[in-house]
Formats: sequence, C-alpha cells, structure tokens
Amino acid sequence: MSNAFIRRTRARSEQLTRQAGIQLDRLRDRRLCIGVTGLSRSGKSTFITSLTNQLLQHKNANLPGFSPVLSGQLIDVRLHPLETEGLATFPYQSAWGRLCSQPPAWPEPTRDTSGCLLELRLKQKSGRLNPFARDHFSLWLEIRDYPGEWLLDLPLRELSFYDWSQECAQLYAQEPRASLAPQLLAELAQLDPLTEANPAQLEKLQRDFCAFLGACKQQGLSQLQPGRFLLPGRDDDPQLLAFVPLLNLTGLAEEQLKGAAATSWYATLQQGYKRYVSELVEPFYKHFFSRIDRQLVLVDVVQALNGGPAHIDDMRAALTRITDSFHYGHQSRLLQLFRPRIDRVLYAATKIDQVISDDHEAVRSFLASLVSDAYRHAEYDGIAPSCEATSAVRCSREVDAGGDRAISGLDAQGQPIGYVHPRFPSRLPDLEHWQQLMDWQIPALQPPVGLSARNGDAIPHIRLDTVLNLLLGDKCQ
Amino acid sequence: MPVNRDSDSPEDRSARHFQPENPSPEPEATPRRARRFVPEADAQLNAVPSAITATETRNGAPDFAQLQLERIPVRGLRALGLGLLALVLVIAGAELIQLFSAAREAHWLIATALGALMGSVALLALRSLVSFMGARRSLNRLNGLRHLADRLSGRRSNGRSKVLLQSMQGFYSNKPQAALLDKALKTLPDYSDDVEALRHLDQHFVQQLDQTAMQLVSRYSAQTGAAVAISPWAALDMLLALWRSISMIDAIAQVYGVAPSLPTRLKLLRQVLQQLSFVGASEITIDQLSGDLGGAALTGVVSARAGQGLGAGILSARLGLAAMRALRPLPFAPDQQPGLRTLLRPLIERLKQRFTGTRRAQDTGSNN
Repeated sequence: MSNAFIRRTRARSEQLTRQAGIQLDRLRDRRLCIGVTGLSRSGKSTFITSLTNQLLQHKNANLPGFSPVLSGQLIDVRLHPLETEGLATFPYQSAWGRLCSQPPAWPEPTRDTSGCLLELRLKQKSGRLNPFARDHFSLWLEIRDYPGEWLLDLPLRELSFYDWSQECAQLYAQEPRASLAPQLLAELAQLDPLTEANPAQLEKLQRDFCAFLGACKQQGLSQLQPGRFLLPGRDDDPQLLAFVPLLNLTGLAEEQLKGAAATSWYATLQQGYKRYVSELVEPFYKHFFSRIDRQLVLVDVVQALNGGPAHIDDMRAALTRITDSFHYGHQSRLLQLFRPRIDRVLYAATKIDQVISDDHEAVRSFLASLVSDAYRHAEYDGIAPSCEATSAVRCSREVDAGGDRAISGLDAQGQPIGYVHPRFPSRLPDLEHWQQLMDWQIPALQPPVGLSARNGDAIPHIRLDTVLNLLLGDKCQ
Repeated sequence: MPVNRDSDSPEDRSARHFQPENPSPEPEATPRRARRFVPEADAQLNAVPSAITATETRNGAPDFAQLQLERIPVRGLRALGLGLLALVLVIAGAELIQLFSAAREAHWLIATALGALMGSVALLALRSLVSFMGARRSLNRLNGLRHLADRLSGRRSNGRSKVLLQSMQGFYSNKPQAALLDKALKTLPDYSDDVEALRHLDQHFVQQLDQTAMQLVSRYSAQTGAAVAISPWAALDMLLALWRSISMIDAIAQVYGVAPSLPTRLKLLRQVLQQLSFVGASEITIDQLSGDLGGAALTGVVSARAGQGLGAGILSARLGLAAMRALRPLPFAPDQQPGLRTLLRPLIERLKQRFTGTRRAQDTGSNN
C-alpha cells in the first residue's frame, strides 16, 4: 500500500515538474503552440506532415525563405510526442510512408485528435561575460491535428439553443440546402416546440439530420453544424448526440419557451444541445485552441471557386464565424501564460500546385478578399494577418501546351495527365466567368512518384518556407 | 460679379443627345479554355518536381517583400525599467522605516503622529486608485460596445444584436442621450436582422450625435486657428492649441455620453494620437487648400502667421475627427467617414475674417 502511495506521489510530482518546465519554457519564449485551423478537406494533415518533413529534413529541403536555415542557425530537429495524457501522437511516420510508397498515396483523412511536439535545436550567440551561457537552445513547437468537421462547433459555444435554431431555420430556407432534404426539413418545421417529445421520433429525426448534413458535405458546403454528427469522436457517448434544431420558433416568444414543460420538445432538445456544447465542444476548445500563440488558417480556395458563388459565401461565413472564438493581440509574455492571445495570423491557400504559377498571385488576392471579414477581427486588435498561396506537396510541373501554360501531373490511377485550367480571378468573378470555373473538372492529382524515405528526401513544396518564416522566424533568434 | 471658375466658354450651348462611345474594354487577357490532354513523354511528371520557394519571382517581378528580415529586439529594456522602479520603491520603503524608527526613539508622540500621517497617505492613495479605476469604466464600456458592433457588422445573423442594443441602453441610461436612443429603438422594425438593426441605430441615433460633434469640432478648430494666428508668441501657441484640443475632446466625449474625468482624458488622448497616425496627412493637399481659400486670395492674404493659424486649425480638426472615431459607439461605415473638407471652410472663413480685420487694424494703426 505504501508502495502504491509512493508511486502515486512520485508520478504526481513528476507531472508537476513537467508542467512547471513547460510553463517556464513558454515564459522564456522557447515554446510555442501553433493552431492549425482548417475546414475538413482543406489539407491539414498533409500540411502538418509536410511542415514536419521540411523541418526534419532541413538539410535537404529547399527553404531559402526560412531565415534559421539560410543562416545555418538550425542544427537539428527532433519529433516528440506531446506531453498531454490520452492524446495520440500525430501519425507522421505512416503519413510520410504513404507518400513514399509505390504508388504514392495521400495521408488518411483525420478521424480523431492527435498532436506532436517538434524540438528545433538552434545556435545561439553566447555572451562572452556570462560563464553559464550555452551556445545552443531548443525551441519547442506544439502542433495538434483534429478532424476539420469539429472546428465548426466552436461558434456554438456562444449560441443558445434558441439562437442556433433560428440560424438553422434561416440557413435551411435557402438553396442549395433547402432542396437536399425537403421531407426532413418539413418534418422539423412541423414539430411543435411545446408538445411532448417522442424519443423514437427524435432518434429517427436525428438519423435523418445526420444524413442531411452528410449530403450537404457531399455538395461541398462548409457550414455544417454540429460537426460531431458527421464524425463522432472515438469515445463520444452517443447519448450526447441526441438533438436536432427546431425550425418553427419564430412565432414564439422566449418567455413562452422558457416556461415549456420539461418533457416538451423544446426543453428536451435544449437539454441535449447544452450537454453537447458543455461536454464535447468546450473541452475540445480548451485543449486545442485556448492556448495557441500563432494561428495558421488553411483554405482550399481552388475547390471552393470550383463550387460556385453559394459555396464561396458559405465558406466565407464559416471562416468568419470560427474566428470569433479566437483572441488576438500583442501582450507581455507573463500575461501570455494566463490569458493567451494570438499575435500572428497567416491565411494560406492550400493545394496551389493545381494552378499555374501565373495565377498564384490571383489566388492569393482572392483569398485575401475571401477572408476579409475574418481579417477585420484580427486587425481590430492590432494584428496584421498575412496571406500566402502555398502547397504542402507539389505534385505537378508546369508545361507548355499549344501556347497555353498547363499543369502536368499524375492522375488518381497514376497515369500521366495534363490540363489547362480557366484563368483564376483575383476577386469575385462575374457570372460567365463563374460558369467557366464551375464547368472545369479538377482532376485529382497523385503525389509525385520517387520520394524516398530512406534517402531522407524532403517533400517538394510551394512557399512553405514563407509560412515557416512567418510562423517561427522571429522566435529563432 | 460672381467669379466663373469653370473654364467653359460663355457661349450658348445647344442641347443634343448623343451615344457615349463605348470605353475601350480593358486589355483583358485572352480567355483560357479549360481542357485536358495527355502530356508528351518529355512533358510528363517523371521525377519529383522542385519546390517553389519564397525567393522565386511571381509574375516575373522580383519579390523582395517575401524575404522579410525579422525585427531584432533589444532585450531587457522593460525588465531594466521595472527593476529600477522596484529599487526606488525599496529604497523609499527603507527610508520610511528608518524615519519611523528614528521618530520612535525620539518620542512616542512623534512616532504616533508620523504613523497617522503615513496611514492617511496610504488610505488616500488607495482611494484615488479606486476612483481612478471607477472613472475608466465608462470609456471601457463604450469601447466594448464598439468591439461588439464591429463583430456584428458584415454578417447576416439573427438575434445577436439584442445583446448590443441592451448594453447600449444600459450605457446611455440616466444620460441625456437616452431619450434619443429610446426614440430610435421604438422605430426599429421588428423583422430586421442584425446588420439592419445596426444600420437603423446608426442612422437614427449615432448620426444625430455625429452632427453635434461635427459642429463642435468645427467651432473649436476655427477658434484654435484664429487664436494661433493672432497670438504673438510661438510657445503660447502650443499651450493654447493643447488646451483647446483637450477641452474639445472633453466636449466630444460629452456628446457621445462619456463623463469627463482625468483617466478617460488620458486614455482618450492616447487613443486619439493612435488614430491620428492612421489617418495620414495626405488626406488634404495644398491644392485643395488653395481652392478653398480662393485662388488669387491665397498669395495676397496668406502671411506666415495666417499659415500657422491654418496649420493649427487643421491639426485641431484632425484631432477632433480622431476623437469622434475613438468615441463613437458604433464604428464608422467605410463610406461615411467624416472628411476634413467640410470642416475646412468655416475655419478658413473665420481666419480670413479675423486676419483681414486685424490687418486693416494694423494698417490704420501704422497710418496714424
């Protein structure tokens, strides 16, 4: 018994020292938490894989824009698991292995949360007068990965069930959502909030609602709430996913609803909603986003442009809503320990290798106008966000095809394919131009063949060095 | 005779219709037709492509903006300052303790008197601190309102503006602006979404306050300009302008419902100076000025002193506009930012009047 006690005490004290060490590193500006934010399918896992790979293989990688590599300051990089208990390690090796395999494949879509800790070993100018000065130091980077679907739950933290239902009613009344599941939406609209709830009917409605969200996702829409209905976590209690929005609340005053019986539809669904937010969304926010120092927002602009005006508006709304959950601003490091604020934001258009380099600038400008609302929030607090057109894995080359610049790569079957794409606009295009963009079928490209893990190859990228420099450059000195 | 400023010839014009020529369309790049093809052997992706890095040029232009040098921080300045402050505090404390023990050795009555003095000074300091913090609350609440409004603008959501309206009512309750706000809220249509509610509030409440504030700025800047123009000493000018500016900021704060107090004044002055750096002086050029002064009059009338007055007046007007921006409960919509030009005319009128008046007086003086 005493043995167990000693073991427990030792474990506890070890944990405390570790925590104290982490906080000390943060205070010394030696530890950063990078929030990689992106909707689902925006390429978060691939981006993290490539970022890690560039740093691990920095000797072979092409990173002239990242000042520590350029000046030879970066000595070594190591990959560690995160100290957080119960959090899986980011599957870097398997993702990297898939990229190197024959035929190469993309990393698996993320189904659960994971994280990793990168240690950058950097040279330091040692003071001549200080006998304890060391000529090296470590910069620790926390990076976490999670399913993009869950990101859309963050706005729910500030919405009551009533407000959320109102928003849903407004959203579902418009195309393209209205015609996806007319029957379900009619059923939801017929529910009388004040009558007694029927558990069997709720179960069926919830199932149909999940299917409806799935159909919206198929359409390429971005505002899909609640996110865990699409992709429940591994340990999620199915009991927590038992609610749907009420679509006919407009005629009822809030006081009237407050007085609704505990077994009524309104009270039951509100209860379910509240539990979902407090038991799933809040912990997710707390562990993943409440402590980030730098934010990287990934946006798949090419895909969204391909989807048309409704998709672009939907994506813009989703991105703006998400930024409400983040706090921006410059402040002292001591305050940063207790009340973290993001002091750099970078918006990156991903998968830019699908576009010829003449149009990169246009895509970048388009991204800037797409996120301008989200931008304003950061600018209000004195942060100037940057925008960049990037690609984590470059899997194409540019060729000349009958006078036009064209992209040449490998299609999903590994066969050589080339294409010319319509010109990309730098701002929202007119209808005719939209039609051209919407008619264009983006071929799915395969990662390039010939990467070898054994030779320590670095993944070919587009402007990841800029991203790295913007995120870390100033902390490496 | 009215001066015809237009360069049109005074001949009669006959009315006619005409078809405006189509402006030549911008040399738009040739449309690119999307198509797929199978690349020839030498154009295929046979090897790993090379990376495109930050040093690469985009659109043929060298991209120096991409290679940014990081700022080199001077480490330890703030720590040094804090350390010095702590040192001074420790020394002061030690001195006090020494003084107290010396007094105790002298006589217990002296020690008691000294202790009472110290205690009351400490109490007074605490009280000022508390009231200082309390006085800041008004401005902080106003800033909170603007932050909330800024988040709401530009999105079509429903029901979020309720919070804003409530906190606005809370802020203006027991203030003279409450009546106007109530009137504006009564006419708020119930079907409006957040953006519409904000716009309504802007039009029916905040813009009314704007008008009053603009009048204030105009009056104060004209006064400052005139006063600087006729004041004989440069040092006095500065003091004068500072004093007028501070009382102008106070008056504008009154209009927007912030009670004047020392801490709000300090914080506002800081915010206003920050705002000033945003709005560059490029807003107004000498050309515009000369137009407003009336071309020929400029060379004849302007003397160094009038120029100084004009400069001080413009600075004061800019300060006033910046104060409005810092004090407005809702942020200005991009298209309705108040401009300097509307403020300039009264300033110049006043200056001209004053200046020609004084010159005439001087002239008659010298004639005598």
